[in-house]
Amino acid sequence: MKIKDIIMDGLFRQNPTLRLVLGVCSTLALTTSAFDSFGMGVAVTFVLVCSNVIVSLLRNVIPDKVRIPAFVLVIATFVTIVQLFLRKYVNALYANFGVFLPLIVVNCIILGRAEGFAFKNKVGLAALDGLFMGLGYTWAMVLIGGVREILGFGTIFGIKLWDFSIGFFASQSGAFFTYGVVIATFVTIWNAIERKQKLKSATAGVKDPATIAEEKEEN
Amino acid sequence: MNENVKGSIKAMAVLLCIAIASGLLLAICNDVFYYEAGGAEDFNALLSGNWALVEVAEDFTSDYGTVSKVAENGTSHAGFIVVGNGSGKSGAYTMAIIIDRATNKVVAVKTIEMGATSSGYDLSQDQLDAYVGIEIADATAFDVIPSGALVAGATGSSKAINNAFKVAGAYYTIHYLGGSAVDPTEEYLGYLGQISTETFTKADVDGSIAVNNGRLLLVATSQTQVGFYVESTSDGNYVDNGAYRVAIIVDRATAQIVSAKVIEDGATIPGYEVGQTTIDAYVGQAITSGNVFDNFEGGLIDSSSLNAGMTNTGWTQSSRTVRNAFSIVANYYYNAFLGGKYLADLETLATGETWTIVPFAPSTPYVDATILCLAQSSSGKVGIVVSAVSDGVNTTNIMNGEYIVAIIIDGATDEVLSAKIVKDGWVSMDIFAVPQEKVNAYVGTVITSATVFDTFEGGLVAAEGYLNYGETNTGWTQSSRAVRHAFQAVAGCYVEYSENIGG
Repeated sequence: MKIKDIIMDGLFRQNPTLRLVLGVCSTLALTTSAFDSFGMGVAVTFVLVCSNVIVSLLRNVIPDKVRIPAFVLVIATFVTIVQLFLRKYVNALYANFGVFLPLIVVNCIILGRAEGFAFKNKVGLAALDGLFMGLGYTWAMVLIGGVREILGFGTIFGIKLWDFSIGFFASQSGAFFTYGVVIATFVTIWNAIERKQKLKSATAGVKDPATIAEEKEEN
Repeated sequence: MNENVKGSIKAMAVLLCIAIASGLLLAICNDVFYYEAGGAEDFNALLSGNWALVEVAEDFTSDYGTVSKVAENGTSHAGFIVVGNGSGKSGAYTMAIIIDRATNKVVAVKTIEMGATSSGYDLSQDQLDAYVGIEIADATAFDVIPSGALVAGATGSSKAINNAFKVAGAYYTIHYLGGSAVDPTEEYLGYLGQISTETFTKADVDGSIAVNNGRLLLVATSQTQVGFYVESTSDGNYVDNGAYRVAIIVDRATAQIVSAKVIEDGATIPGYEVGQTTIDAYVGQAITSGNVFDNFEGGLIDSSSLNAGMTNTGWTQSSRTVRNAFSIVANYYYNAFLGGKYLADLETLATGETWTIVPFAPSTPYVDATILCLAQSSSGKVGIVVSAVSDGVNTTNIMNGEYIVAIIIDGATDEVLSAKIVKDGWVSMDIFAVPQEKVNAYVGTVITSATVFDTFEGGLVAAEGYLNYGETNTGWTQSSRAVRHAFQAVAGCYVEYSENIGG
C-alpha cells in the first residue's frame, strides 16, 4: 500500500468521522467547542498511533482467537496514560471530557484500525495509518466544533467574535444537525472531486487508482 | 497435550504478558503524572510558579465555608482551595483562588468543582474574572458580589462562589495581614448609632454601582434613613494623609444629608485634621445627582495657611479626601436609592425628555414590590421603575426571580403610555418569559385608582399545556403575575405621588 493512499484514506477517502461515521458518541458530545474537539482529536490520535504500533509489533505473537481482548488491553493502557496526563497538565480538558475520555477504549476507530490495518501491516505503515486516521478525525472534530462554537456561543477557541449566538447549536440537537450538514457537505465535495478525477483519467485513457484497486479486489 | 490446549495456554500467556507490561507502564506513568486534586497543579494551571502546600490553620471554618488547602508561591502569592457553602438551589463550590501578597489583590480564580445543579447555572470564567483585581484590606473585601459575577438566573451559584471568596478573604486577613476576621458590621452600625437615633439594618450593596476614591464599608437602612460608613482616599498628588472613614446619614424623604461624622481621621500631620465644623457644611445638602458633591467647596479647607499640605487647587488634601466620602455616598444613594441608574431605561421609553428624579418613599411599603425610581419629565410625564418577584399568591413553587419594569405615565391624563421589562425574572426556562406584547396590554389603561390593575388579566399568560410546570392555582404563570404585580405597585405609587407630591 502506498504511503499516499494511507494519507489520503486517513484524511479524506476513509475519514473516520465524515466517511465511515465512527466514534459518533464523542463527536456529538464533545464538539461544543473547537478547543475540546481539538483536545479529543489529539488524544485519539495519540492512542491510535501508539496502539497501532504495539498491535503491529505483536501481530505475529498475539493468537488470532484472543486478538480482540489483546487489542482492548493495549488500547486501554494508552487511554489511561492520556487520562493521567490530562488530569495533571490539562485539567480543564480532563473535566470537560468526563466519561468520554475512558470511553476512547471502545472507540470504533481505534479498535477498527487495530483489527483492520495494524494487525496486518508493518509497524511503519501502522504508525502512519494511526497518525493520519487520527488527523482525519481531528480536523473533522475541529470543523464541527468550530461551527458549533461560532454559531452556538459566538466564540472560536474561546475568543469572542460577536455577541450573537444561536443556542440550538450548543445543544445536542444542534450537534446532530451540524454533524449531518458537515457530512453532507463533505461527501458532496469529495464525490465531486472523485468524479472529476475519474473523468480526467478516462479522458487520458488511464484508470484512476480507485478503479484499479476495485478491479484488483474483484480479481 | 493437544493443539487446542497448547493454543489456549499460549493465548493466556500472551494476554498475561501484555497485561503485566501494561501494568508496569501504567505504574511508571502513575508516578510521573501523579495528581492530587487541589494540589500544586491547580495553582500552576492558574499561575506558573514554584507552589508548595502549607499547613492550613485547623480551626478555619466559618459560616461561609472552609479553607481546605493553602499553597504559597515563594513569598509572592498565596493560593487557596476553598469550599464556599451552597446558597439557594446551588450546592457548595470548590474554588482555587490566588492572591498577590504584594498588592493583596486577587490575581486568578477558577472553579475546581461546581455546585450548580446543571452547567447552565454555573458561572463562566469571564464572569469569575470579575473578582480579579479586588483588593483584600479586611474581612469585608467580598461583602459585595462584583456585578460581573452576580449572574441573573444563577444567583445561588454566584452567592456560593462569593462565599468561597469570603472564606479565603477572611483567612488571608488573619494569616497574611494579621487582621481580624470578626464581622465588623456591629461595630460599623455603632458608628451610625453615634449620629442617628434610628435603628439600622445592614443592606446588600449593589456591586454594579461604581465607587471611586474609596469604598463602602457599610450601607444600612432604617424606616426613614439610609446610613453609610465609607472609607475614602485622596484624589490627587502631594497626599499627606491616609484614608478617612466617615459615617453619613441620608434622609430618605428629602434625600438630604442629615448628619455626618469622621470616625477615623486620616491626617498624618497635626493641624490637617478635618473637624466636625467642616463636616457639618455637608449637612442639609440634598443629593440631587450622583456628582452633586464633586465640585462642592463648602466642606473644603483652604490650604494657604497650611503650606505642608498645600495642593495646586488651594484646598487641603485631607478635606478633599473627606469630600470624596460624600461623593461616594451621593453617587451610591442617587443610583441605588433614588434609582438614578434606571434613568436610561426611562429615556429609552420616552425619548427627548429630560428627567428629574423625585425622592419618594411610600407611606407604607408595598408588599412584594419596591419602587426603585420615580422621575418627572420636562413635559409632565411620570416615569416609575419598580421591582416585583411575585404577587404573593401560591408562591411555593415559584419559578421566576425579580422582575424590574419601567413604566411611563402621562401626568395630565393618568394614562399608561409605555412600559418595558428592564430585568426579566425568568430563571430556568425562557418559556416563562413574559413577552413584550403582554406588557403592552397595560398601555392605554388610565390609572384611576391604586387597585386599577388588581383584576386586569390582559397582561397575564395562561399556564396551560407545556406551561403547566410552574402553573398556579389561578391558571396564570407566576412570571406574568409578577409583572402585573409590578403594575399594581406602580398604580399605588402613582396615586400617592399624584395626591401628595405631583398633584
